[in-house]
Amino acid sequence: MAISDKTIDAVGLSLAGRRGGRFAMTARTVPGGLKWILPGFIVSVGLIYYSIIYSGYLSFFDWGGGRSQMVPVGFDNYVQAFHDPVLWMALRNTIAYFVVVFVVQVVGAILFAAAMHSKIYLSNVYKVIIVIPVVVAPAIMAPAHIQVWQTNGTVNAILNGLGLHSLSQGWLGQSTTSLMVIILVSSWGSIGFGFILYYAAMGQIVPEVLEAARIDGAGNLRILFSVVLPMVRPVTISLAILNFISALKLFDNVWLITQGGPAHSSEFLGTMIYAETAGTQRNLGYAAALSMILLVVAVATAVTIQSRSKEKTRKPKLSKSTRELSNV
Amino acid sequence: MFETRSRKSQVILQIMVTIAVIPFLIPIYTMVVRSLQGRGWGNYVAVLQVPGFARFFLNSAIVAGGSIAIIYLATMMASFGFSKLRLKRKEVFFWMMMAALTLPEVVLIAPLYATAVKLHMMGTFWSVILPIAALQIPFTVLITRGYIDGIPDALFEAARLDGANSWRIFWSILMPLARPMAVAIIVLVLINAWNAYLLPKVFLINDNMGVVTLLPEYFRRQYNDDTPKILAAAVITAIPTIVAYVTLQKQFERGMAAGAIK
Amino acid sequence: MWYSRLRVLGAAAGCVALVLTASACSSSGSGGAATAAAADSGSVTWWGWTPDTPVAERYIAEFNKEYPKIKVTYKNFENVDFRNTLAPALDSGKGPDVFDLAPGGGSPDLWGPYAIDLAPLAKSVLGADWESKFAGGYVKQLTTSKGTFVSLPIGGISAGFIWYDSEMLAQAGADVPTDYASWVATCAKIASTGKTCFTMGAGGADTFPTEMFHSIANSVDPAFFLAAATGKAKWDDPAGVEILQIIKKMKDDGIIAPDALDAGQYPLANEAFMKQKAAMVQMGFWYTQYAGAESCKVSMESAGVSNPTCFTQLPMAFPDVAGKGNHSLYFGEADYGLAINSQSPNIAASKTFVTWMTMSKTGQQNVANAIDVLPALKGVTPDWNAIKLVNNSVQQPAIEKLIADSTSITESRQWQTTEATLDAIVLAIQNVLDPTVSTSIKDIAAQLQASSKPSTVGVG
Repeated sequence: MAISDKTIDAVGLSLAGRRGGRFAMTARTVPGGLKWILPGFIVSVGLIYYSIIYSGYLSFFDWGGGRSQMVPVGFDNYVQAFHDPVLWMALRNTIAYFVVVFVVQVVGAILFAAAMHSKIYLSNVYKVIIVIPVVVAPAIMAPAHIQVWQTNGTVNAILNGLGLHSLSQGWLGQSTTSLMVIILVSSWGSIGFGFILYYAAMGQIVPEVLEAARIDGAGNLRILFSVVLPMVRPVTISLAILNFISALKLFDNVWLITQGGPAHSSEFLGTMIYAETAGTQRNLGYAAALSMILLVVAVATAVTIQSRSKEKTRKPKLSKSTRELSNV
Repeated sequence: MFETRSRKSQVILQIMVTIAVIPFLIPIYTMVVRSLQGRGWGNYVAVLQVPGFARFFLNSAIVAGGSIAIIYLATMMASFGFSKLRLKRKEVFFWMMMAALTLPEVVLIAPLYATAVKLHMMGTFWSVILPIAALQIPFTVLITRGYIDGIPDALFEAARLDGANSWRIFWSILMPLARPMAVAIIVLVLINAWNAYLLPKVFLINDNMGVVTLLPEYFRRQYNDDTPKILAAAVITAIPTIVAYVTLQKQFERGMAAGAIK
Repeated sequence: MWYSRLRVLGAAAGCVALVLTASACSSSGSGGAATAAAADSGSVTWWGWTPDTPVAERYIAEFNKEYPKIKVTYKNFENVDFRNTLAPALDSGKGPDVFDLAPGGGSPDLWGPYAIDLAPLAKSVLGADWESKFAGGYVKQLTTSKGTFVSLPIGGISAGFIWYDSEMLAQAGADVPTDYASWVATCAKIASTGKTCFTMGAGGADTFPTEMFHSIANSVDPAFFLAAATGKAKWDDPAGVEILQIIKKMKDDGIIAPDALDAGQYPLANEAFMKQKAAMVQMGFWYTQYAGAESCKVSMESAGVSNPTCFTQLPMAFPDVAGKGNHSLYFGEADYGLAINSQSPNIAASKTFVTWMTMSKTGQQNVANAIDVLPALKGVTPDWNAIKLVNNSVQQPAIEKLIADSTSITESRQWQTTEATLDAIVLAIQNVLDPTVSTSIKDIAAQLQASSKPSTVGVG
């Protein structure tokens, strides 16, 4: 059946019109959504949930793997986890990491995406450069990062060249600066990822909207952060959730650059879990308990982020004058 | 997006972007320089001479292609369902999918292994494609759902009034409109599938099923890695994904431009 | 209504889960009989973290000269991937026929249940006194706590000595140090030529730094390390505190390089030594292989040197840093051995392969000539006619002495130290060397004692 002209007009109209379907909260139309989500659901839930349930079960045992005995220990693994100061250090590191990397990612990626949507030469080259950290696996870039941050590496060479000898130090080898290195390295990599998403989302923004704002007298940056940013909100929310989960799970960059050291100063939950499954005298039950804790924290936070963002959009933004009028 | 009316502001923009890109170049530069140390271009020759080199690329392409196909279809359908269709308790399902994102890979190996053996999947590409899809789908659904939320419901209302059923709406309206996000998804899934290391290592045990991420393994010794050759392998491996990314971008932009001319 | 939908969904997920759990419960059938005699034909899969693939393929090629009808395939894994992959593989019944099994970390008890008892095989090949035919202690180290001998040793490691670049020392006009004062003097001379004296990588998660700790301990009190490792002494006893103080002094007096915490021993220390930026590095017997002319070149290229000219590396005893006249004795144990999967369908062929590798003169000669591990079988020495060193006249006698000293070792390296203790020692060293940490040495030692776990292996 052909789509009528009415529909095409509607499509054309809304492409030209304002974005933001949330403001028009029409009732969702069609029942039967189940069969649509079913394929994705079965594949991801089916395969992974066996692992989640298995891990949950395992967290109540002490087990060395293979044929060694599985000793039931009740909640001991969880108690041990919460008493472990390294766990709390890891959680602190996770939050610090998340905040910095998220902010850098959003600001950096939006700026770059906006720049690439402007009239600029060599945009393809820039795009490739920005995206390379996303393309190349962390395991491969790690030696390069070490070379940049080590005691006689690039950063110190630049600092010395600028005459700032006192700032030149052993960034990787000090418990006070190891976390900072991880955060900076990850921020570097995160911008490319955000860029891919924001660039796609911004591609859908109709030029007329920006023109209108410009006629109103808004400058470039004003437009970016007052007009564009709200329009790409879904991407920002998704990035917040993904970043938080990544921060919790963080493993590759840390393990390859500082191994969580020195002295656990750059430890994360991901590296703790890995260390527990990797050692020769490991307790897979403890690793499973840590994974369960990770899961609960991740889902709880993600739900919180998502629901708080929904609340914000439900309250319509009335201007002050409108509100005053309605109080009359 | 940035308006550059005057010549001066255009030049300033160009300079600022160039400066901003420099920190990205430093590690890349270090990596390439390092890959040319030791035996210089001989490192690249050594990588090309690894037995089965071409086969590795083919296998990686198979894994990537299979993953993309499954993930793309499942994601589009699921995002459509979550975003535009009615479903009781759908948030519960959504968060169940999200929970699947949180497990570190290393925790998955043992249960997945038992599964693969019992389902006779060992040594087939499915044993890698399905777990990769399982791990990626929650993430792709997360970002696509938000994107589709941004498409006004009015469009779908209109089509439904016309008498179109869900499938028709899906294929004729959603898919074209979601193309920008589709490109993003394809690129990201391609990168993840191409870079997959642990899953192929454990499950693709047959000799002729190696993937490109196993190339650097040839140059890892027990302690003493041959880092220049590992980096050379990495550079060679990264080239197809970069090419794919650039090509897809061009295709997509051309498509967008054509669509805009009504 | 939504009930039906939920039921559909639940059924779908439940189906998947049922299939998975049901399948996980059943186990696979058994393989060839453990008593099968060795066979002449068949195929064998071998999994290990060591040796490196090219070396393993060399061994296999030599093996095939005697047994052309047995096809052996080797698969190399990183240490950690190996542990994570081997268990599910063996559990599923689709594991390798032969796999590496080492003495460290309780491995015999961990992997022993999957392997066949190799004592009968050893007895049939080497006779009733087969245990004494292997280098000291190796058999005991590869036996489970229940007394089953599960892994035939291929070779052993020794550690506790230092390798130095003799050309660099000569250029700086420095002598080989024998005690603390002479070490400081040598380092001063090397520093004046713009090079690093003693390179070390203690910033990683690996346990190499514990070897330096162990050597210093042997200089302070030869019995201390193993006593503390097995719980008979405390790591914060005066001897333990003295070890940490010596480490701090070594950093302050310019022996330990300032970048010691940047990364782990590999790649930091190895590359510094191979690039000839540092004159000394503490590595175990496995480092002997770089005295070989070809290995030296390959290793230098891997470290990033173009067109390398090989230097002469020589071993030296660990200097008497405590000044008490205790010669810092070497320590060591079996490096790894081969175990046969009890569920393997190719036990007979596996027995032939393992016998050749570990108990035949030809197989062990290969191991000896690689000068990478010490051969497990007594009486096998490197065939110097087949080995080309960088500088045969100087290195051959030094290596022969090293081998002789190594084969008379009585002290274990990691066999009787728990992983928790090893990690705690590394942590303590990191705290001592970190300039931003202000904890006192006594407190660091106390932390070390608190985080360590005494070993019960080989005790009593």
